[in-house]
Amino acid sequence: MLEYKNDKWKALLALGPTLVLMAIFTFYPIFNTFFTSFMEGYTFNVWYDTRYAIGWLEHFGETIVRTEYDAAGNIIGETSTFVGLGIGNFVRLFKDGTFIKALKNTAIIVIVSVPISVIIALLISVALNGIGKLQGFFQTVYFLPYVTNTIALGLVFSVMFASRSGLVNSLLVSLGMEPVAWISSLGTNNNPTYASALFVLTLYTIWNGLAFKILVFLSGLQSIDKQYYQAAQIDNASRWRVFSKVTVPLLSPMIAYITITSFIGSFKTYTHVISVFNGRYGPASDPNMLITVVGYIYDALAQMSAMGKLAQASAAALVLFVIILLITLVQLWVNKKKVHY
Amino acid sequence: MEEKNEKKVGVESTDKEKKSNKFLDWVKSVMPGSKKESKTNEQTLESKNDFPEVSERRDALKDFTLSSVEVRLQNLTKVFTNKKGGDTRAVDDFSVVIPGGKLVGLLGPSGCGKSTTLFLIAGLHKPTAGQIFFGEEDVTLMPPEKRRIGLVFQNYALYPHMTVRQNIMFPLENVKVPKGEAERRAQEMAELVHIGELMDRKPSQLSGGQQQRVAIARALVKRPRVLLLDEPLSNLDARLRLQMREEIRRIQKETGITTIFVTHDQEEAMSISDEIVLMNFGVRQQMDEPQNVYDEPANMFVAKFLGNPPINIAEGFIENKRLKLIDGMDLEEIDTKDQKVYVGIRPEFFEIDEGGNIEAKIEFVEHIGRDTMAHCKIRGYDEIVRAIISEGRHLRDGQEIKMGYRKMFVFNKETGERLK
Repeated sequence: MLEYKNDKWKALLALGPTLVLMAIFTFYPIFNTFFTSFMEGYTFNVWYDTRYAIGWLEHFGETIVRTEYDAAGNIIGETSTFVGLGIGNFVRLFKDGTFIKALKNTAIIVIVSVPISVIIALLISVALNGIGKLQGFFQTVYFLPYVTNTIALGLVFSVMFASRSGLVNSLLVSLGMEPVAWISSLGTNNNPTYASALFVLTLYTIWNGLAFKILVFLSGLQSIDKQYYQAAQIDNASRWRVFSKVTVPLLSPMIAYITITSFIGSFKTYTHVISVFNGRYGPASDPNMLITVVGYIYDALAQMSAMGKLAQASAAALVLFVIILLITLVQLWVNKKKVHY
Repeated sequence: MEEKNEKKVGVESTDKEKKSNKFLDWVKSVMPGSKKESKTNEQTLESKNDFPEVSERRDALKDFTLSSVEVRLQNLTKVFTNKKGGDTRAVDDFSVVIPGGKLVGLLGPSGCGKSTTLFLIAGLHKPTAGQIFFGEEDVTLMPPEKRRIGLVFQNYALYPHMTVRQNIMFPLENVKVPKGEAERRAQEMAELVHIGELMDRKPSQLSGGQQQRVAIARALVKRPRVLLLDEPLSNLDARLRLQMREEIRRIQKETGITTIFVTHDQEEAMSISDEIVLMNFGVRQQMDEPQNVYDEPANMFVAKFLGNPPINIAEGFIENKRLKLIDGMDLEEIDTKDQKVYVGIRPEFFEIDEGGNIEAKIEFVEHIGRDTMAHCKIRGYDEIVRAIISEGRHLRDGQEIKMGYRKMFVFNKETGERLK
């Protein structure tokens, strides 16, 4: 019994620092975001908040305003204020065309990129697992993007697809085709379309996410008992049946894990967009073309001292959180029926 | 492309098989005395005698065509080369004819190449040299999926995500047997191995013995020509082991399929095999009916490997056609040239005999029910010799006795070859 007690203290000691940091930088902000999103007319003023050392939590529900005047009696500043609680932020959010656009873009990116990248990663890892001699080499090749900076990779993509002289357009021209305005204008009336910009973005997203998925799938494949394959071979199973009836079910825990994390990751897409479009959310001709929910939140936060913007960002973050939560719950429910642990 | 073509051929051939089965059925119904039919009848009769309930079951299994193909291995050799270039001869110039419709045990110590031999027959390993025949057909270069064999792996290799029914139906679905027929055949097989009521369970919900049965059903459902079992009983506890070995015997009898199983357990091999093949260092040592192998071992390895308690081996020599032990004890006349030998006497071959020419001192006596086991030392030897003696209640520790023997084996000291 004593040993268990000791273990408990050791565990607490080891976890303590992390827990403290998590409490400050993760748990508190999450709760704060939740409450902030319901505050009407919230004005954020970090300098006076700190000055008076008043968290709104202390006076939750009250309209507390601490105002500071100069010698002449003019207002020089006040603490963060809000006028009441309600769902106004959410109503305004869903009336905001940009937010709807961001939701739509995010949904399209998720729906297109996640299934495709999971399937491609699965096929590549099965192929990699099947080859003998050069496996190590190819494994390294496919894993390199994972250890390379996302922004740098995005820039490479944007250069590849940019202007007339980019790699892709040079290739098209050399094949006798017209160059395409992928992500940058090729003339006054030849601006990138939504489809072309989305194509480049999803291509990049898929490619960038492959490495980790392949790594996980490969390690999963290598832990499958070879005898299942020998048994299937003796029983005259075709390659497709071996893949669909043996490999995929036995790999299903890994597939489920990767699918859930990819869904979550894709819903939070932000870096991919700005790295392909040089810091914008779209081509120069339409800088908000592919804005995502996180992009929208970021933009709102950038203007947080304006009245209601921080609350609006919080509301958007909460909406994103609820969407991810719901989809993850649905997936867990599906997995319970389909995944064989 | 090649793969696809091959598959087409495979499907076609199974179609043909189905047709030929129908044709056979028709032939059977019209002319019951056809050649293949008579063989089937013989076997039915044989099994009827052994297992009275078999004929009933056979009727239920009327679709299950008996396939009792002979398996012939000719100078089979398998050399494994490791990364450093070192060679291991797992199977060495191994020739054996496994008669059709028999249950044959491949027996040997671990690492003797018996599992490798089984995988060579299955086609999962490619032989370095030699040939494998199923009947008259040379299958040496045939891929495993074409050989029409059933293999039960040591750990069964049941697909954990499939139910028992799905597991058993898997081989049938692979060759596109219609669903209704596949389900019927799977049920038939499940009944045969007595798991008919477990069809909707997952393998993880079954006991080891039940999993074994499922694996056998899965191997048999596609009507293979040969059934191969790799250490079928090693993953079971002692009670289940006894039960399952009877079951394997029964299933083999009912189906009449040529069955080869690998084991390192002599009792297992002796109890259910029609014949056993003893292997050591990849080399065939002896093949015969179990009792014959026990009674007439071909060499010292076989004599030592079989028997529990093990055979007693003592050094001796032949001088002027007389077989003698070290201390000069003269045993008997033997018609070979002078040489050093090992004398082997099984514990139960000894008998107390005042006129016997083996002098020994009893170290201690174990009374084991009906018999007595005397641990004694023969004059001039340090090794303990075990003798099982009936009517030995009067024997006491420390007693000096004279023993005779009903039978003995004599082996050449260098080669281990049996001289007598």
